[in-house]
Amino acid sequence: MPRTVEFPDKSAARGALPGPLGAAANRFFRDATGKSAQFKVTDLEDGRFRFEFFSAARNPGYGKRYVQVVGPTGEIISEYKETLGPEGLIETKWVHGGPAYEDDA
Amino acid sequence: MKTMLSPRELEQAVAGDLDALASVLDHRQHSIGEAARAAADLVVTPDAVRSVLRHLRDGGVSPEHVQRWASFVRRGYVAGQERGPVQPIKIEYEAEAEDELAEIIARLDELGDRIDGQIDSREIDGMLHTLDAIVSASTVR
Repeated sequence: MPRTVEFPDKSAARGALPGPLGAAANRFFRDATGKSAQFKVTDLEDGRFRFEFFSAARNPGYGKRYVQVVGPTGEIISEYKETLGPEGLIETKWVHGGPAYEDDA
Repeated sequence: MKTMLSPRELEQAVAGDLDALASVLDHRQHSIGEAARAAADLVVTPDAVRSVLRHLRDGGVSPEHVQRWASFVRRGYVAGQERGPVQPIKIEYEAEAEDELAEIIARLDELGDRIDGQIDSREIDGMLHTLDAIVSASTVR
């Protein structure tokens, strides 16, 4: 069962992990803004970790969830951004990888 | 795709040279990584972001190209280019302005999104004002 830890702020999330994974977390959470929250790190228990945070949009009721999955050496396996609205998911923008690749991994 | 990227081009791209960015975007990540190893420390400065913002405000560059610049400097790899796992290069933000740079680069990375995907000249001027204040303060120090 994957284990998720939520951090109270960006700074805590940036220092969440040691070594190469720590460098990856530091880089990912660095780009959270003053409107970001829900800083989470999930141990996927196969050597991979998932990082995520949520940023409220300028339009009330909307926001974006940034997600990155990294491997044991901090390599990026997948990365995407979900735009959420009052009715739920509006769009998913893949930055790297995607559903087809995740199926292979 | 080209095979060799010069460290100088990579340094210039990080420094806000959007022509150099076009060259970076034309290379695979292993070439970008080789250039990064030979380059000086890659640090995004307030001046780099000011340059990008001015080009965006003046219409000298497309919002899409600015978004790609923001995506590259925040992530250390070119979005959507590689199929397998990718090892990003290390790109720092100038320490004294890290939070402000993170805010602005995150905003530029939103260009083209369905929500908050546009940035008008007034907002750009506000960002430039923030960066101008940082540069002025560092000059005084």
